[in-house]
Amino acid sequence: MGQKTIIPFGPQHPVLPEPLHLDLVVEDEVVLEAVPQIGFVHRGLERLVRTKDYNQFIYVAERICGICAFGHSMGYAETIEKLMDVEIPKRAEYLRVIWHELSRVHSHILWLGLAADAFGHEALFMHCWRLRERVLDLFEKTTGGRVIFSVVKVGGVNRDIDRGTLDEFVRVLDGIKDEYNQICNAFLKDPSVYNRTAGVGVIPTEDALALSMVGPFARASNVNFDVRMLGNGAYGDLSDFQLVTSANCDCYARMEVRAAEVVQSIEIIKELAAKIPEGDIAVPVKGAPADGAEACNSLEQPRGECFYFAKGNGTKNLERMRMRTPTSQNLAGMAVALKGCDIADVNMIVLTIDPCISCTER
Amino acid sequence: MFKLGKMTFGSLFKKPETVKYPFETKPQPQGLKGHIVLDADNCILCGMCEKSCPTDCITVNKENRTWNIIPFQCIQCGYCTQVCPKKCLAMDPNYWAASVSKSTNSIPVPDQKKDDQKPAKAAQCNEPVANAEKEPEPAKPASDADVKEPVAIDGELEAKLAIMEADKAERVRKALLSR
Amino acid sequence: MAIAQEFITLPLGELRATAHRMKDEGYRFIQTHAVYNEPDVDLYYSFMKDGKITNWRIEGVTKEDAVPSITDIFLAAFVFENEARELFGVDMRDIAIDFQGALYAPAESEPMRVITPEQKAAIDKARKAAAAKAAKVSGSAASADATTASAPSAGKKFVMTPEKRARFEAKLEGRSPEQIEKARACLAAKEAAASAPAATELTAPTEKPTPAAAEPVNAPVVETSQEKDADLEAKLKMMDSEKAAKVRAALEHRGAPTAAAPETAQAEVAHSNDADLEAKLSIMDADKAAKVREALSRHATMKGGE
Repeated sequence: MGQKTIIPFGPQHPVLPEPLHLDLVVEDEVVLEAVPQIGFVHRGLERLVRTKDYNQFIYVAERICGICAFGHSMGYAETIEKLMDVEIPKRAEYLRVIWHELSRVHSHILWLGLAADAFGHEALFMHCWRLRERVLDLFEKTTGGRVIFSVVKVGGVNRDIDRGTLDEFVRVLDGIKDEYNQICNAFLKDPSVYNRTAGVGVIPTEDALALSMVGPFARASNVNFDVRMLGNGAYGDLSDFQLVTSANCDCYARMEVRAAEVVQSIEIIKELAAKIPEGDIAVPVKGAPADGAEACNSLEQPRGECFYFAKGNGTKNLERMRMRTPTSQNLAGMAVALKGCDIADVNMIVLTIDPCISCTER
Repeated sequence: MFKLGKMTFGSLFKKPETVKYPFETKPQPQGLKGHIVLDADNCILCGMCEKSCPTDCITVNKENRTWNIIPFQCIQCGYCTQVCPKKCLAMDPNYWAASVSKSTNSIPVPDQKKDDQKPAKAAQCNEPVANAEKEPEPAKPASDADVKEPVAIDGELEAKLAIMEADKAERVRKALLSR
Repeated sequence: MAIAQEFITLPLGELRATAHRMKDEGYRFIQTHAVYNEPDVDLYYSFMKDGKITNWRIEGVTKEDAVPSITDIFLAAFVFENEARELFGVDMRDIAIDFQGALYAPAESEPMRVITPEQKAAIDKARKAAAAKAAKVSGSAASADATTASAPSAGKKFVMTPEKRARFEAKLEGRSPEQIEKARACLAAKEAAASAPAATELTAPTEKPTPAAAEPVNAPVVETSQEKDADLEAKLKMMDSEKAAKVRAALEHRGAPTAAAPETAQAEVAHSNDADLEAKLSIMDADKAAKVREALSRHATMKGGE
């Protein structure tokens, strides 16, 4: 038996995409305990609601995170619409969901690339990011931005997508599907990848529930929860929504779930693009949220459930805006998953929760 | 073992996905949020863009009749283009040119018959106000009149001061207090 | 279809029992957050089951209240509890992963408790406008008369009509307990005297949410008679301390003789219309309202100058 050592891991580390610090208590090669520490990129965005009015804050909200940018603006707008009792046109709901699912596609492909990079498969990483570029081009074309879209507003959306462009969406997504399947083959069938991830960082279903984990991280532990199945907005019009879950509960399962969710998102986009109704894309929103009014909302972001809370005070500025992002829920699960793993697996486990520390700290 | 072999091998013979950037650029799609352009001929200097800008990068100077923007502060959100009542702000697909120092772009706005645009708005309050388009200067004599009746100062002057620019309001207030 | 939500108030003592119950009933813990509700903090604990979000709200948590951690029941709460302690100054006890105030290590302590005077003024103004609107909706001609009577103009007697009482209560809602107490005390004193105007028509409702609003040039300096002093005091008490200090300074500066200037008829009318106008303005767009206000005030001063 060796002696206990504490290894500091992060916030600046080659395998970490985000500034997360871990104190790893290590004995020999085994991690006995991992204490997470965040707080390196706190920007105080929640406080900005006092100085920016509720229309301006949408541009703050989407800058919480680069990858979930669309999700944050959509979740924020839905919350304010709930707070002010605004009903938005059906077409706007559809457009939002189409864009949101598209950002799930790009977020998951980006994550798959990072995972490939983490286990040392450079070529796979390049291929993933090459495919993601096609999705970003679709965004660039329809919203005018590659990362920050600024296309949602309280009461609807700013830009419409015409029929021709929607058809192009479907064409492009079908086009990447073939290549994407080849990439998935490499991820899910390659024995070297399997050996690296299977049985690593196991969290049983009961623990996942007790730790209130969310998103693909939880679904890989066979938790049957996805906010999309509650049918909020245009999700309610889907003919069929099947949860993607896996019973393996390890890093391999998390990869499997995310890989399958990309295909699911593409199907959702295709269905909604075929069903989208004609009509307005926004309703005018006047006035200010009532004093003391409260509303909460939740949205399935690529990384998991994101919770929003808003409280009005009668002025155009909100009294309080709260955004609970998926990563802060998953940190506890990550700390538990790290217990008892090999030190070489730490980066794999940290990556499979898809941490977004900037989201968590806002 | 070679699940990715076909794809990777195929890439050897395909056209590269990337472009040789400085010599070749990707075409900008229509509607890309590159930078804000102002159609100065239609601008009425209403200040809506200044009020709505989340980063306070736009300033509208009514006295000098200029519309100013600090490109480094602009986040290309496009909110100003939405709120502009005359739709004279637009997003150009080309990005701002790189620069070595922070600067302010000042765009002069030509003076037009200002009376035919503004009265429509003032008319909403159903008040027989003749000079609806208020140039900042004439505000001073008006506020001097207020001083004679302290009651009138209370609410009304305060409202006036509030909508003035900060430094002006300060001057008026000083004048008031000195009496 | 929006996601169902409910907000339930919970006493602080029952927090842990409720958390245990939620866990036993199979609720999923969503999050914890704090809301600054002057001068205390409200804590929210959110859970979800069957697509419904249940928010337990613990109101009025003071700095002295020790809040037990629920991290032994739901470990995921550790980030939020550390956050509430650092940003709101809530005294959280026994957090499983305790950062000892080093989570964000903000430059100023309890940054989320800060509300600048301008923001405060804007909120107060909105509350007044909402109260005025509510009064306008509830009452018809009678309440309109009451509104006129309640304007602080010299010579009008103080009569507490039921409508006014309702309006007063509406205004008090949302203020801190001390303020409410003070205002009530003043009201009682005035009812006894039955000579001073209503204390509730405070700083002119035409205030704007800009720095200008914080400087009360619009202090009620015109009031001269002795019985007005009590009224004035009531007003000052409702203001925040620095504002009150400024008003007092302004009062002394001007002195009694200048303040004795008679009110013009126009001004009186303008004041009595304030409440109605404010109600109208409050339902308008901010920019529009500003324009209307500008036009109105110019109109009034033109008349006054004649």
